[in-house]
Amino acid sequence: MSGDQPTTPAPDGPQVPHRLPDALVRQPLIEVSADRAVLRLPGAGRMLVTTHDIVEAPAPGRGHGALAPLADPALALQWLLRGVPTVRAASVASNGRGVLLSGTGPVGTSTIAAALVQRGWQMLGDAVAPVIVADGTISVVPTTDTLGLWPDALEALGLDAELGQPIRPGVAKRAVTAGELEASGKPPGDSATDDSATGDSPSDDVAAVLGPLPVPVDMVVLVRQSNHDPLGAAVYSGTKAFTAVDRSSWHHAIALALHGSTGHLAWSSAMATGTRIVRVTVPRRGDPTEAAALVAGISDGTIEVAPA
Amino acid sequence: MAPLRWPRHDHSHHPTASGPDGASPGSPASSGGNTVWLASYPKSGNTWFRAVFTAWQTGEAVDLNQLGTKDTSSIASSRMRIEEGLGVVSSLLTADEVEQLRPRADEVADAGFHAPHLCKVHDALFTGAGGEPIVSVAATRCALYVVRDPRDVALSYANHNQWDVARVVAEMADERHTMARSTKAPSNQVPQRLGTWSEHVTSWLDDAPFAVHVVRYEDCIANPVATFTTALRFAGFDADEASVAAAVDLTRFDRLAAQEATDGFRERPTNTGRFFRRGEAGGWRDELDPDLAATIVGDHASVMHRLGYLDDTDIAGLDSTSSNVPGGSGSPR
Repeated sequence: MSGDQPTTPAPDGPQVPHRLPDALVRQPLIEVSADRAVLRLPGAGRMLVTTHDIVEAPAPGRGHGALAPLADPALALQWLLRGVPTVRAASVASNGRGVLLSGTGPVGTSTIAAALVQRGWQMLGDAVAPVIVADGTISVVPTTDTLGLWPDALEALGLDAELGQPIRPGVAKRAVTAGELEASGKPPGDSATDDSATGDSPSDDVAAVLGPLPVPVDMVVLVRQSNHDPLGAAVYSGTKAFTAVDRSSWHHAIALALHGSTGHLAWSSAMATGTRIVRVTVPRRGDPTEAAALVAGISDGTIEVAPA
Repeated sequence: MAPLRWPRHDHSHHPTASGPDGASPGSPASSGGNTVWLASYPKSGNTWFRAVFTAWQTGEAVDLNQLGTKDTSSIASSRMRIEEGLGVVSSLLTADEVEQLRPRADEVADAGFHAPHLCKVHDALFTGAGGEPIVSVAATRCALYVVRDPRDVALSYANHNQWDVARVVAEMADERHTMARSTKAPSNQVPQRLGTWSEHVTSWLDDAPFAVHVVRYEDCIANPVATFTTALRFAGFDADEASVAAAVDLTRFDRLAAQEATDGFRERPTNTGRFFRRGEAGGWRDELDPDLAATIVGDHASVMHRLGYLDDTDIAGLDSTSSNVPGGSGSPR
């Protein structure tokens, strides 16, 4: 969830249009032009996204959280408008190595990220991971220090099911900060965070001016949930890696329209060849701390993984 | 459950839509889209139909664990399908919002097809919170409704969910019965309102604003080639009996069960022993508690009679004051 993304409530008036006359892409809930996007959720309101702002216009009588289901999609659109594709992934880092935890639907990416934060990893983002490919380097931009977690996930992490704040009335998912997770964490057993490499405290002054510094991406973890298979991992390469990365991007059709198919495919290809792509299978209702330990082990090289 | 407020489709040229005994109606006029809904109450043969269809399409043995991962056979309630189609985070939507948006996701998915394609659906065909059917009419070509004797469904559903059979019988008579409704941890599907077994059947057979063809599980067992061929032709697929016969052979129950035993089946719930359990029609006779069988008959007699699961003699022995007995004083239409 995009907890840190500043949004501006719109005053009454046409500031957030219903439609974009110059739209390049029209979808049921989203319209995108070259420099703006409008998102709408029937009964809840609309959002206007530009490269520098996200403006909310809740429907009359709708208050806090009404537009929460659009918050991450809006953030991903903002990065697309800036020219940066995003992966649908939680992002964390240890010792300057960024790891993206990607998956569609509620497969537990945020829960594994939270378990890694409990182990001492740094949190970079939840759900939206803007990935910059430049000069042969692939890096992820930190977007938030807040994770969206379900009560069952909090309990599986050994936490109070009501930790954090509710995200939206009528929805049980809660917003939990990295600080709350760290306070509850177990002693780090596998890694320690090197703040100088992840853009944390020594870079705070820079970050205040430029925004959070990107972190090099070492690995993309494709989380797959299974009813029957045990916890395990396999390395993807070649076409399999490319397809998996390409499919994990937010707003795929919009990215193609804004950046061209060549530009987007080049981004996916760079990701697939410039990072390790690892599929991690997690048992449904399994222990997220075990999955986190596996990811940590693969990341630091203490666990070897065979090709898929 | 709110019934559809939609204009009812004229089924007069689709006799199988109103009963199991009609001749093949041929392919209906499209409602506008290319989606063929493969609709059923859970554990009624939907997976078997998808396996036969996949084998017919490919001419090869079916990999059970690939069912539903391709563009055909996906389920309408899939969060992935909804999120990829609409670009929204479905787990933060309320149940009403999901119902309101699902038809739009259907339309996005359907736009990717230029020929008929199957999509599995377990919801009853009710009016969603947006005031329209839970599936998009604009995206629909027609529907195939797979139905099975509810006494066999009860046993299979109990095994699937690892529930007591008595609980399943009660759920099948509960108009609020909903799948995947957990609010503590969402599943990979959005909640699906089923209603009672009888409501589920009649919602699709009587209230659909598009053509519906009934596929009885028992007919698939007794006469698979003709039953599947007729259904596929109705849906607009160019199926001949020879190719369907080959597909039926590739997907024999013993082969699917053996594959599940060897490779597992990802659609099998965590605590369930086997997905492919018996694959028989009428297994309830030697397995279902007679009192529970009687309860099911009492709850669903009218619809069971209509579909040939009860004959006139069975009906004559029932309490005629029941609203679920055909001709009874409170008999539904």
